[in-house]
Amino acid sequence: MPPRNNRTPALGRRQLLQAGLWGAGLLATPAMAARSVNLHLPGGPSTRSLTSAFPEKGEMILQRSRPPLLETPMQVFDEHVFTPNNRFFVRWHWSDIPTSVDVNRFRLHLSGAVNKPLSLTLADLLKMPRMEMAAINQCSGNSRGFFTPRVPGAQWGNGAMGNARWEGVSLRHVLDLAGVRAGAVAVRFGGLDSALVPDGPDFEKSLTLDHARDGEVMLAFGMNGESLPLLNGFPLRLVVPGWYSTYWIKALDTIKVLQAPDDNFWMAKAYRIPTTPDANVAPGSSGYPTVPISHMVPRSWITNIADGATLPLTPHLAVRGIAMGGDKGVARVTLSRDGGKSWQEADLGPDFGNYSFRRFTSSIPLTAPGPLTLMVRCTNTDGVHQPLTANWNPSGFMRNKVESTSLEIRPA
Amino acid sequence: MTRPFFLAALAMLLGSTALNAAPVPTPVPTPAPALSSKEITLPEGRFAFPPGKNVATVDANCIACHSPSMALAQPAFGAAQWKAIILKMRDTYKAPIAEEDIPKIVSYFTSRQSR
Repeated sequence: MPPRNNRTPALGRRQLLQAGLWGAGLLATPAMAARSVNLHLPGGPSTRSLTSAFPEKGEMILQRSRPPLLETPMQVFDEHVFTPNNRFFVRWHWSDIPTSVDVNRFRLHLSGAVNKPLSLTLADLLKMPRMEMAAINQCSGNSRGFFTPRVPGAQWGNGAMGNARWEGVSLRHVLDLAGVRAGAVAVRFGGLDSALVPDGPDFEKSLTLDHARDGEVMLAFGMNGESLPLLNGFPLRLVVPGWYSTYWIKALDTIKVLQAPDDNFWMAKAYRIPTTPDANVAPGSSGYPTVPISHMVPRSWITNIADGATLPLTPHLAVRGIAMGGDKGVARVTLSRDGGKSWQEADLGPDFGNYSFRRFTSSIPLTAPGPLTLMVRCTNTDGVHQPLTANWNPSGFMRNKVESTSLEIRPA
Repeated sequence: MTRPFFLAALAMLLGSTALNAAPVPTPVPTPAPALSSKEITLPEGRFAFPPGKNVATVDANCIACHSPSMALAQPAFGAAQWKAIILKMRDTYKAPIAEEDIPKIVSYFTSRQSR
């Protein structure tokens, strides 16, 4: 095991017990922001504090302080097609996360079934051929709070996602530098974060060798023209365009080439989905086959009108929002005002590639006051579109149903 | 760059592109982002769970690893589902939870929700 930068010792049982007793004795008033948001989760609790207390972050929805779970407020997606770094969502599994990185001492270790193990500095990486890719990073459990029946886990609204222009080096280039040996089948990735308890599962993920070498998977040190916030994985993270965020290892410092499929907990037991269409199973069912979660699916949201809004009657209602094709480009965005019987085509904004948000705009003619429900649906370049009904699985993964915005048009 | 050198370079580029079916990294003319050493201090958040049945047992077992907010944001699960969550903390995440503490932790969450 190579020496790790900034790694604090794992807590033993005695330290854990002492920490717990210490924590119980304090009735500290939490330094919570006065502002809050209502996520409108079915059955609640839906209120979350808004916090600006996290370093390198502006106002975020607080899901948890330690380890941090910070959700992006939906207005950010209306204001920006590339999510500003200081509003980008944050999700860590264990609380032993890196809070200090020395860029001169940092090393990326590449080992396993390679001809030449590597220990690369950031300066080494900066000299390599560079690439840039716009790609959405979305939590597997984004929108979990909307599942019905409800499921345990982080109770996100729709804001556990973000879009960025990632800049860095292709993983293939680094793997080829080391020289992958015959018989290698997978590549495992680990970061500077650690499990809190000695036998807890350290967070590591892997990709098949072919996927790792596809020329799009990259090691990113740039995010929207800047270095990564520490909370998003400074100095380096894995970027897996079109795939859910669980693979996008933050503070990436170890790459290991494997000669057998990875059986570590985070691949073999966690982050698995039913093999059924839309990863959908009946609540309470069991015994179905599962596979590791992988590529994303189309989604879209109206971002300029809040659900439940009241708006005046005008000849037209301007609608705008964002769409994503999942792991393919956005081909069409359509809107319905009659429960899905008919759909009108929206206008698409600039195309930043298969893996980026794409803005859409539309104009809805209004003729009378009263209730109005707008549905928005994305179809990707493979012809895959969002389903009208929600999926369900016990992990709360891969939600992508057509979203609805209900509003009231009041007389002019 | 002299003309013969330019033509040779162009030929190499075209040759390599023709052989290479996968995407070629896009040359990025802008300078790389500045990578300077960073250090942050994280806000602590709540130190303890709010008052409730057996809250001392919950604090003693749970706060060492994580702050309370995510647990408090779970919907009104029943006792069986809370027990499954706590067993996951013990068996998957290796939290050292004593057997006799499990029903106490369950009762904290189930009694909160019935208020």
